[in-house]
Amino acid sequence: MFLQVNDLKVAFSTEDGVLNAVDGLSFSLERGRTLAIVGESGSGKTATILAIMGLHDGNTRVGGSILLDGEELVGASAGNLRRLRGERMAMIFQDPLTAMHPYHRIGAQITEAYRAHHKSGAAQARKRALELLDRVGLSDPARCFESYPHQLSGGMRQRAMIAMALVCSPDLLIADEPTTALDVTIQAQILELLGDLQKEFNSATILVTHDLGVVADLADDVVVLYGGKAAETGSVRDIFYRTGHPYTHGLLGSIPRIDQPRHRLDAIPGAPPSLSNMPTGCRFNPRCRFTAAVPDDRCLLSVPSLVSVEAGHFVSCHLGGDLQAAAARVSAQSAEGDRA
Amino acid sequence: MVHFLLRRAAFGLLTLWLISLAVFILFYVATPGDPALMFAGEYATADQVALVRARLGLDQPLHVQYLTYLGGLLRFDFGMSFVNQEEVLSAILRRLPATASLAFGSILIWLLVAIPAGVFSARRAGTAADRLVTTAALAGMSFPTFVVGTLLFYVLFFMLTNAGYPIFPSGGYKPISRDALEWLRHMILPWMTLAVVGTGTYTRIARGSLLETLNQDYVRSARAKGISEGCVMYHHALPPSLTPVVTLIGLDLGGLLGGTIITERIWGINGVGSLAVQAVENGDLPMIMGTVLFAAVFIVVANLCVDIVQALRDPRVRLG
Repeated sequence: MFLQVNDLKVAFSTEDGVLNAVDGLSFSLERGRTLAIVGESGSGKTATILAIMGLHDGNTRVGGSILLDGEELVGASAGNLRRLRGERMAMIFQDPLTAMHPYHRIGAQITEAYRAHHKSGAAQARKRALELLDRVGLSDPARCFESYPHQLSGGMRQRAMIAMALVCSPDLLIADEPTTALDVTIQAQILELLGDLQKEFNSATILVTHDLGVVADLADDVVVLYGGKAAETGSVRDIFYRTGHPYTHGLLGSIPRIDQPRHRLDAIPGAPPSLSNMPTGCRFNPRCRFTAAVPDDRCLLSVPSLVSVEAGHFVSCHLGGDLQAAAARVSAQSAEGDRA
Repeated sequence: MVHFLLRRAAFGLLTLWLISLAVFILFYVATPGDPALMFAGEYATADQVALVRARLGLDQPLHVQYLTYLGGLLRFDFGMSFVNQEEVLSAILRRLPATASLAFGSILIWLLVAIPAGVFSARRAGTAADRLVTTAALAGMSFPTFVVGTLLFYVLFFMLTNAGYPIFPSGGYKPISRDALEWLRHMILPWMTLAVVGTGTYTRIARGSLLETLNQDYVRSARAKGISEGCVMYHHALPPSLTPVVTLIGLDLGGLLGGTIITERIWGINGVGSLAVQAVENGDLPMIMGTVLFAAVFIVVANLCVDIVQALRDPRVRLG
């Protein structure tokens, strides 16, 4: 495995005590594949990728293990992490306007990472940057090189940011909601570009998003995060067609479909749990439609573990992944309730 | 850039004109006493007062007076002192070197201390070292200038001199053109007097602003590139964090050049501040107007300089 995350824990120490943003997350990723991490705000998506990049500050405890090509990142020295960042793993941020330095030219921001990791002169770094600006589809690379971020449009900025991340040809590319800040038409172009580049560079890609449409487009595998834990992991087909977790089911139900008759979208009731006040038992139980299908209040009392429901498809739910049977049981129970 | 600066300069001129108008109204229209009476003195006869009034142009209609006043300003003619018939402009210019030495020197000291202290403190935010620096800065801010000045006078002049080390003089100003070393010797304590308060304020501002900048996305991006922490700190985080400091220097420098009354008084420096105080004490109207207008010019010019510096630093301002 190229990237192997085992039992990852990320805890913030705050004035309200210790908050567990990520609580025992495991996944793995091969070169050339794309893993989508899906979840609502506060589900631990960003905490996870910052832990991989080693970008958490001193008030954050990271536990468990992150192996990048066999090298342990948890507890690695600052110097080692710095050597890996930019060179072997790079990141594309959500909002290119705030993620780029307002005082520095695009060219300087791209060559900076290259020069930090290669003993090369300015000319070679410039050549590399122009090459990449051209590759990400910017029509006038030389002009972009000399521009400041605020002089480019949102889509051009995001392309420039992708060039910035790719400058050292990283083996692991992390894209944190790369299209959220963009117009819908630009989103599609950027997604296509990301897909092409991933094939070309054969990098392992982590795509953080809350947009399941993006997942369907780009990802091979999916981790659905809820309250800092994996609710369901599996291939895109597993997640979309053999959904095993009520939360994933809820997420899919809240996407409008044009291939089916129009009906009201099913929103997931309630709000994501707060880190300082996690529900007991299954973290999803206050919002789950299926708790009645599980006997003995087990959803409220015990934390479900992540179990395999088929090869490569894991679900953390007391129902064991069989939502159809559970739905039948819930409707039978409510019919019985109506009769009585 | 040129367009931006022209706009700022035009705005500065407008401000100056408004201030000059306010000064005119204050001193020609709303003044409580009769300036001619003040100028002529206590024992003047009615004829003498009338003569003075005619010579000062105070018998003219108000709009003529205003145009004369404005015309004078445009020729840098602020009139003559009522007290000693000295030209107001030359009186101010004669005192400017002392005030300018005081202002630039103390600002230089407080920037050289405050910015490194702020960076030191921000990099160690939450630690004992950070708390020590912020507490010291708060203490510095809280001391009134006259207390700091008196303490420095007592300890570094009085006690040292009594102990047989007359390193610092008790006060006065020696022009730098005559003897740079003497100038320095005479300026150190006044600089420190002003710098204590300024250093405290600027340390806290530099620290707070740097902490805020360190939380910006672009600083995280810089770290994500794997560049050295020193480069992240001094190339990416520090320059944008200095924006509030630069803005404040503009205001403070303008204010200090307009006269530092207490510090000049404590150290017996004959600067613009003490000139303004004397003018007020003597009811010397042209001199008061001159010092007020001068202070306003310095503030406007200093702010224009700040705009230029910000434009040079930030391409978003420059290229708008």
